[in-house]
Amino acid sequence: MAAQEIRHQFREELRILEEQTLEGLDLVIQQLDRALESLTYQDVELAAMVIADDDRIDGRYLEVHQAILSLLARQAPVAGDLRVVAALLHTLRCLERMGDQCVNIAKLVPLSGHESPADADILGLIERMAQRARAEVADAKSAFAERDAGLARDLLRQDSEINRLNREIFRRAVDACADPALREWAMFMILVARCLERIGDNAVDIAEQVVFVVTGLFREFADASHGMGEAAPAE
Amino acid sequence: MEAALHPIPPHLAGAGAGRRRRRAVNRLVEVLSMLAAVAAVAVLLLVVISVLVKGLPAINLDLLTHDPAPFGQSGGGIANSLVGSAILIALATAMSVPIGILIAIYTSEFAPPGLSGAIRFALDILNGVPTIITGIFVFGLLVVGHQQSGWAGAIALAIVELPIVARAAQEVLDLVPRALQEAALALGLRRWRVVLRVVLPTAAGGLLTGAVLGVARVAGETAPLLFTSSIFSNVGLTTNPGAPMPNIPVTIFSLSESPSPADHAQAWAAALLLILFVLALSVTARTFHERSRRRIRG
Amino acid sequence: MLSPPNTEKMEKIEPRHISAMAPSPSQAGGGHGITVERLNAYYGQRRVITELSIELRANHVTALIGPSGSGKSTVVRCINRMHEEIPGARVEGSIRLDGVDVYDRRVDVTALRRLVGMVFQRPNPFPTMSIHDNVAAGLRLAGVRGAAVREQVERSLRAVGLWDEVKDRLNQAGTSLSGGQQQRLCIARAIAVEPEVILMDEPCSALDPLATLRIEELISELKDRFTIAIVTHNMQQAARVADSIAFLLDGRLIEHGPTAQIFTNPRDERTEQYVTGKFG
Repeated sequence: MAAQEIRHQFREELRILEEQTLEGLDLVIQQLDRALESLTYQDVELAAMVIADDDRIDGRYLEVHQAILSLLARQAPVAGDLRVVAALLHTLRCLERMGDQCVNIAKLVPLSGHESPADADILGLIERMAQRARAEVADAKSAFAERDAGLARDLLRQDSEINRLNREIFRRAVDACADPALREWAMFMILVARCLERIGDNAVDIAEQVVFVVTGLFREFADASHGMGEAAPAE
Repeated sequence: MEAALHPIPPHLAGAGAGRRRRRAVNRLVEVLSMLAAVAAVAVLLLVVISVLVKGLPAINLDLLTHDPAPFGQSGGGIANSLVGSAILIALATAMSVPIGILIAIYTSEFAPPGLSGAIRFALDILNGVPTIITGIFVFGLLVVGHQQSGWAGAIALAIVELPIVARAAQEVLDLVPRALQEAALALGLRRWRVVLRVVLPTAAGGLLTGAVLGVARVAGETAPLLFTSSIFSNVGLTTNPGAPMPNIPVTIFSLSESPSPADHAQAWAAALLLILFVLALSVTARTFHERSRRRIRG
Repeated sequence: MLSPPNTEKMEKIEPRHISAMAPSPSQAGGGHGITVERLNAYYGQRRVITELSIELRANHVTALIGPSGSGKSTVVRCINRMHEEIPGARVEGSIRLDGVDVYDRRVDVTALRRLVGMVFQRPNPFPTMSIHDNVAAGLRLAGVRGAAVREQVERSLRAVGLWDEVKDRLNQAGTSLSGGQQQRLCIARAIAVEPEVILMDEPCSALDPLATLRIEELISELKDRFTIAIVTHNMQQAARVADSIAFLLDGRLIEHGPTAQIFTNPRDERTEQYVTGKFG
């Protein structure tokens, strides 16, 4: 349709910015995978790589953020385009934080000891939690790319599973504290679980943005201030 | 040598032989058109110069201030004709200018487009009517059964002057930007006030030009006056339009028919005065025209 | 952690400037709104506005946007009945100012035009009148004389921010000013007769950016005293200046809503396409 050719460059620019932002989510998934691996196998070198590679995510954040500001100034996007731009800015923030959470996990690896008296159950729960988190990030990316509000809303449901696992890990870790050899490691695992839970929250934030882009209405799915009657550690 | 060092590609050079011929034709046309322009200017200069040469010697104070000498005597002047012409022109202008402007206002502001075009057309035709026919017409209307008079002459002249003034007024009124009228209407002014306070003042310069052109045209019209105001051989200086009024064009005609060379000289002098008058008016018209255009453009 | 405010998107118009507070000479009891109902406008046989109904709120700036030929100028010219000055043009439907249909037989067109002023696209001060006389042009008709004229001229010139620039040369020709100043002069001329409504037909399109911004500022100041409708093809201008925006397409009103809503979440797909530049 010839009408589409007006502002062709602008549309192209916007599309590229969206692509770059969503690719950032791929980087996050990569980082998450490696952080978990380094944790499972106590691989301190891999952990160091994860920490170093966060620069790539930060760099992408800065670059795309700058490009979006430039687009705003030059092209004055409105209506649907404006909502996409706002959503992209928000999503960039989220992915930068998710990257930081992966770094936090990696930082815990050398601290949690070389010879690992590890509780297999807890480790298993952590791994499941990580799988869920990974799936949420991947779904958030899809939902954004496809403008799929249904998938976005589903992320909330998925996230409740992560919250449940978080509580479970906490309980088991508390039990494990009885064993002095395990105690410290269990504490670190609580921290890891928390990082994963935060990653899930960020994915849900991205999903909220997707619904905003599609409907023009912004509603928070769930807020720390009114969680569903859970005794989740408040922040 | 040039061609050898920097060969020009064929699509820029054009075919060789044709090029020379085209250049020759160009020069020929240029020369011919220049000669035509020179010829036109030359004719004007010839006319003005011959009138000047023949008429200037006869111009003196007597000519301008005395009435014609009685038959047979020498001396005298054309004062009565000068005054008579002035009065006739003034009367004709007083009649034709207001009517002409009103016609122009009607066609520009109020008439439906079809009617407007028809009126313009009619005016153009009137402009082209040979003035002798105008003269005969007024003769039949006003002179037959009565006598010649200054009024009849003035009316005949007014009929000749009207289309010129009206057309010029129409041109300039049409030039007034619609935007100005819209602005005035949107302020809540009535149509007639818009015309009076906005359109006419803006077009004033052009209207004046039209009037001046009209005067220039009728200053020298002879045929209408021949029928309506030509029998005045014994009339001295008069300001009464009820009787035939002496005037310059008819005077030039009758003086040139006289056997006396002194009369001929006077005829040339009168012709010189007439042509200077018309030239002066034309230059004035031009100046007003320029100023008015600049003003309308804002 | 930062997140957008936990609020539902606002569905209703957010009042900005309902000034029932400071009554100005032109508002006896509140502002003056215009209600257009089922307007149809024709040039001969050709219909250019179809069943258009819109409310121009009092003391509110309503911008009309839309592609060329969408009828925005025509709508506005119907309000002050300038449309019928064109031979062959006619109108059906009603346009009410303070409840009175302006097309009622008993309404005097020139009186209407004193209540509904207009500013045009190209500045058009009267070339044969001085700056002072330009502003006073409409006043003298209303029977105002002498000192009252001078005072009103000064007030109007102050209101448009021209007074300081021209107070020493009120007798110079109106056309001796720059384009932006001329347009402000035309606005002063329009407001000198104290209308209730001001219609502006692309008032800034012939002006440079700085002059444009000054006039936009002026419009924001004027809306306290007048109801303003502005036709513009510059969407950024509409966004800056208007309280609500009406989008027209092919002689019909497609959508009319608060500015923020039109530019963040328009309800009609065609509005979305137009404002994002997918066509126009």
